[in-house]
Parts: sequence; structure tokens; C-alpha cells
Amino acid sequence: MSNVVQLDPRAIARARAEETTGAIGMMVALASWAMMFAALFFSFLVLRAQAKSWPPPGLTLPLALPLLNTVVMVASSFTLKRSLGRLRAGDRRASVTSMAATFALGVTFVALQVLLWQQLWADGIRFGTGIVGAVLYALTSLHALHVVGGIVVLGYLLAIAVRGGQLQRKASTLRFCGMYWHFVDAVWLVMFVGMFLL
Amino acid sequence: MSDHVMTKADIEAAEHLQHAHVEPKDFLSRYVFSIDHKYIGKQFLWAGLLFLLFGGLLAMLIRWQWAFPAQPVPVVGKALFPNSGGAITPPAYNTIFTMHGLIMVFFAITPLMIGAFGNYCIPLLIGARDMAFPRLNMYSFWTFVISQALVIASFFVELGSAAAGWTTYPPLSTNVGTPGHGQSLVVLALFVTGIASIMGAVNYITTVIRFRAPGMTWFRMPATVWGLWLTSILNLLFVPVLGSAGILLLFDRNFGTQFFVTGAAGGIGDPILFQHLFWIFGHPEVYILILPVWGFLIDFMSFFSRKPAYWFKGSVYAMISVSVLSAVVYGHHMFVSGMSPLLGQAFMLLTLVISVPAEILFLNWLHTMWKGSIRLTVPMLFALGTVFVFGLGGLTGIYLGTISTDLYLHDTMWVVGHFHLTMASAAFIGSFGALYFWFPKMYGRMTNETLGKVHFWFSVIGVTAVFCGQLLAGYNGQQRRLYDPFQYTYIQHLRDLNKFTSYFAFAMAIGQLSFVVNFFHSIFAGKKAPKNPWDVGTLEWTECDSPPVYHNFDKVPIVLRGPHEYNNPDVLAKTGRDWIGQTEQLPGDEVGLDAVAAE
Repeated sequence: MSNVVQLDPRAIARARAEETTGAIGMMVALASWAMMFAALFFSFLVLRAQAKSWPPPGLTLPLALPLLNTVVMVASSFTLKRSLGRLRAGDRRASVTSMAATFALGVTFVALQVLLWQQLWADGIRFGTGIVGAVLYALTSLHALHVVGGIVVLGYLLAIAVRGGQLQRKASTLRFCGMYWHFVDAVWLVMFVGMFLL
Repeated sequence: MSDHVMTKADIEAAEHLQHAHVEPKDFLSRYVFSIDHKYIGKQFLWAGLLFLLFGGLLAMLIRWQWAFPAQPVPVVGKALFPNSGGAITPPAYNTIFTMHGLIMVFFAITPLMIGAFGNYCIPLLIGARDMAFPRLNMYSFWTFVISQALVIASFFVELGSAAAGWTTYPPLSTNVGTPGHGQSLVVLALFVTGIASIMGAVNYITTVIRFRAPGMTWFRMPATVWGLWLTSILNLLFVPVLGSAGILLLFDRNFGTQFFVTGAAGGIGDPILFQHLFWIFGHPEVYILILPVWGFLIDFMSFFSRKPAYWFKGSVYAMISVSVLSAVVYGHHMFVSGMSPLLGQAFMLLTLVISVPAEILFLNWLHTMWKGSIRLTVPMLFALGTVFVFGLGGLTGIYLGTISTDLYLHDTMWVVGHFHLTMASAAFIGSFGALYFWFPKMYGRMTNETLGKVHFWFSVIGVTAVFCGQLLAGYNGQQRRLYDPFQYTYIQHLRDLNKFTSYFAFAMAIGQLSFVVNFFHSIFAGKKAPKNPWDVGTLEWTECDSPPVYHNFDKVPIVLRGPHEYNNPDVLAKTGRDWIGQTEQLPGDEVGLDAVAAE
């Protein structure tokens, strides 16, 4: 508990209030993001419903890589949740370890995603190859960009931790990052089920 | 809400939650990257007015073309269209009407109505010292500036700016129909301005939820805040849908995907899909552009009739119902796109149901004025004008929401007249009313009444004549967007009607000079504004000087009553005034704050 800084109770109350305001703002913002992905998904469903077959004949969509990526993404949500829990409990070391694990899992996800695109490309699928090309490249890359956004925030927090900065004060940032991360995770689950599994 | 009793602890908590920012001293953070909501509001005001001028001039070019097709444009023609001897060419015409629509909707009304008044009014009217996220607010404005820059840039690339109509329907908006980079830049600009809108919406929504002053319950908020808040929710939820459509269109245009490309262009996509996405956003958008004005009207009717707003809760519930309904009626834009008749019927029914809450609002405005002591100030005149033009727009909309009549009126000038009366005329005249109303608070000076009235009559007669002229033309079968309508024999007899409409449009444009003169003269040399020139009770007038100090309120105000307390006999007897501030205690009524029940 040595990291806990003694603060005046009014400052603590204000910090709490500000964190609540931030959390509400984050939830509001995520509603907007959800509508964006919902619209993209609506487009996918409309096109898929009109397609003669999905996937097109003579083509099998990869399943192993996306499945592995799903595991990676879900795991990263758990490590991030643990990181925040440990930070709140004052266990800085465990928190940073979990945060680094989340960071690594996020990077792994993006790397596997690049691998997936390479595999699709090798199978002869281009941007213009029917809806498969359109949907798989456009929608998954937009999602991957959001993962990269989360990685950047985690990197910023890790940099503070490595330099020995006041990580405790960034607990609210970690919380907002977590909300965003779980959301991006959920979007991936929908994508995985909708595009690769079904 | 009803059992909430305000305690000293609540008041202290509010004081801590909203710490006062210190006014920065350096130039950049004071005048450029300011995080003060009042300053950002003014920045949006200027950005919006500038693009209003831009969009308005484009409108004048369209009116010239419809009155005198393919004849050289006077004064500016030679400079703008040197290759055709000063006449508007067909491709230039496509760009002009497309960009008129997009600029007006996204880069003029939106910043003016939502950016300027949302930023300026929301914190002041609810008793907050700033927005919940002041820095995000600053990013929102500068993101918006980037989008405006993209729009301007689009005019300078090869083949010019966007030309696929403001609705940007594929296949016209794909590389097949508009091959230049201008179209891509404009779609990108829409995406970027959408991000700015969403940042603003997150801020407005959170601020209203979290930063209402102690005692400022939901139904003690001025209707203005309700309108802006509901608009923000629609913005938040539906602008991203347009964003998605824009991204997919950009993928199609620049990476060769085929979301919207099909048919002879060789693809597997679905152009109708874009129409769905566009109108899922587009129909809420028309309410996004009118809800703030409804809020202004509810307040102004009460302020200037010196009466409480009639059935205030009813008006608020009506606005909420419209916000909800607006999300489920978009199909009425696509009756002729090939829709299941059963689905069409459902959309028609839902569309027409909107007239019920709209009627409630209308009746409440009229009831508020009934037997009131009406003060015909400039803001009130503009409010009355808004009711009039919005009424015309609303009534003509019924024919478009009804399938049987829409089949004939679709894509005619009737549609153009209808939506200009609602989302253009009502939105702009309402916003100008709001500008005249809050100008003394913004700049600390009064505007000139006479010039304001000149501006009012030019604007209201102008829009009524112009857009009713368009309704008539449309009813007679004139299609919208025609380069030279009179190439069709069946439209030739409408030449005089079109000329007459154009003359009114030019007169209206010239009349706007009264606003320009008034605006600049008042900012620099207007009469100094008193604290509360309109004798109203909302917080920005009773608690703040004109203009307010940087942190708005020295002490967070404690609100005791609603915003519309006028001609209350009790107040009249005790104070001799016909109004009372939202925070004011009646003489002899002083009570300990611990016992003040907030509703």
C-alpha cells in the first residue's frame, strides 16, 4: 500500500466525481461507436442475404486463425480487468504485469489479423473480389484500427509505469481504456460469429 | 426526483465537481485553442455564419440558373466560369446544387444551431461553469475546422467538388458517376465533421446529466436545453451511421471494394443499401436540425408573452416522442426505391403519427401566447416567423409521408420546397431569433431593433415566397435538380413562376445585408447591454453579467423554480415585477436550504 498518496478528502471526492463523469462520457461515446459498427454489420448482413452463397463457391474461409484471435481477444479483456482490479487494490506490480500482458495480447491480435489478411490475399481474394473481399478487408481492418487505438493508450500507461510515475492517479484512465477495450472485444466476437463461424 | 431534498452536502458537492477554471493569459489558449465553452460557441458561430454566406451564394447561383438557364451570371460569372463565357455549365451546376445542400446542412446550420448555441447556452442555462470535457470541446471545434478545410480544398482539385447531390447516392457517387477526387474529399469531410458532431454530443449529453446546478431538476431546465440535449442524443446515435456509409463509400472509391457498385459497372454490391444507411441517419437528421429550434420557441413564447409556457411537460414529452419516432420512419424517403408495400404502409403510419406530438407543440405555443402580454421584440418576431414557416413545412410534409401522393410528388420541387421550409427556413429563422436573443449576453451589447426587424421581414417574406414558389412548381410537375427545366415542354409554362421565385430569393439575399451591418455594428458600437435586457428569469440573465465572467458563476447557483415564472400574482404583489429569477427567493419566503425540496 506504499503507493497510496495521502490526499485531502475533498480532493478525493472531486477525483471520484470526475471519474464518474468520465465513465458516463465514455459510455455515451461507446453508444455512438456501437451504432457505427451496427451500421457496418447491417451492411454486411444485407449484402450477405443477397449473395447467392456465403462464402462464394470454391472458397473456404479460414477458421483456425480467427478462432485463435477470438481466444486472444477474450483473454486480453480478462487481463485488463485484472490489471484495474490490482491497481485499485494497491498492488502495482501485479497491475503492471497484467497491463503488459494485455498490451502483448493486443499486439498479438493485430499481428494475427495481418497474417489472416495475408492468407486471404494468397487465396486470391482482393478488395474487389465480391462481398467476401469487401467485407473481410474493410470491416476487419476498421476493427483492427480500434484495437490499435486501445494499444496506444495501454502503451502510454505502461510508459508511465516503467518510468515509475504515479500510476495510481491514472486508474480512471485505465478504467476508461478497459470499457473501450471490452467494447472492441465484443465487436470482434460479433464479427467472428457473423463472418467466420456462421 | 419528487422526493429529492437538497442538502448543504449536495450544494457543496456541486461546488467541488465544477471547479472554476482560471482564465489563461497566453494568446493561443485564450483566442485559438480556447477550452471555454462560451468562446468555443462564438467560434462555431463565426464558422457557421461564414459557411452560411458560402452556401447562400451557391443558392443564388442555382436560382439564377432556374430563372435564366445557361445565361451568363452577372458580376461574378466571368470569374467563376471563364470557359463558358460566364454561364453555369452542367457539371458546374451539379457541383453547385450538391455543395449548396451539403454546406448548408453540415457546415452552416449544424455549427450555428448546435455548435454555437449548444456550447454557449447549455452550461449557462443549467448553472454549470463549463462543459464536462472542456478539452474535448476544443478538439470538437478544430476537428470541425479541418472538415471545413476539406470542403474548401475539394473545390480546387481536378473535376471540382462533389456533384452527386447532397444525398450522395451511388452509383452517381462512385467512381463511375463522379471520378474526381473532389467527391472523395467531401465524403471524407462529412466523416470528419461527423466526428466533431459526436464529440460535441458526448459533451452536451454528459454535461446535462452531471453538471446541472443544485435544484436544476430535469423539468426546471429551459426548453432550449431540452431541445439541444435531445438533438445531441440523435446526433450521437445516427451520425455514426452516416459515418459508416461514408467509410464504405470511400473504400469503394479508393480501394476498389464493391459495397455499392453493381449492374453495368460490374459489381456485386447494392446501391440501395446506401440509401438505407443514408436515411437511417438522414431522417433523424432533419429532427436534429429542428429540435433545438423547438426548444427556443417554447422558451421565447413564454418569455415574450409574459406567461408560463403552456403545458411545458407536454411539450417536453412531445419532443421526446418525436426524437424516438424519428428513428423509425426513414423508409418514407424510399417509397419509390422498390419497397414492400406492407413495409411502406408501416413507414407511412409511423410518419403520420409524428404529426400528433408536433400538433401538441404547436397548440402549446399558441396557448402560451393566448391572452399573453406579447412583446414583439426581434427574437419574438423571429420565433413567430419560425412557427409560421414551420407550419407550412409541416403541412406540406403530410403529402410526402402519404404513399399515394408521394408517388407523384417524389423528386419534384415540392420536396425541395417542403424540406426548405422545415429544415432550412425554420432552422435558420429560429437560429437567428436565438442569435438576437443571446447576442447581448455573448457580446455585452444590444443589437439594433430596426435593422433586426428589417432582417426579419426580408427573411420571412423571402423564404415564404421562394419555397412556396417551389411547392407550386413541384405540384405542377417540375422535377428537382434539372439543369434547364424548360427543355421539357410540360414545364415551359412555369418559366415566369421560376423567375418570380428567383427575384424573391435575390431580394431575400440582399435583405441579409441588414443582418451583416447590424451584427458588426453591434459587436463594436452597439449600446451596452444590461445584465437582463429581456426581463427573464433563466440563469444566464439573472446570475451572469453581459458578457459573463470566464468561469460563469462565482458561486454555483441554487435553483428554486422553473424557467417560465411570469405574471405570477404572488411575485407581482411581493416584488412589483412580472418575472422572477430561477434562483430568487421571494421576500418573506426565506427558508433554510436544507428544507428546500427540489420539486
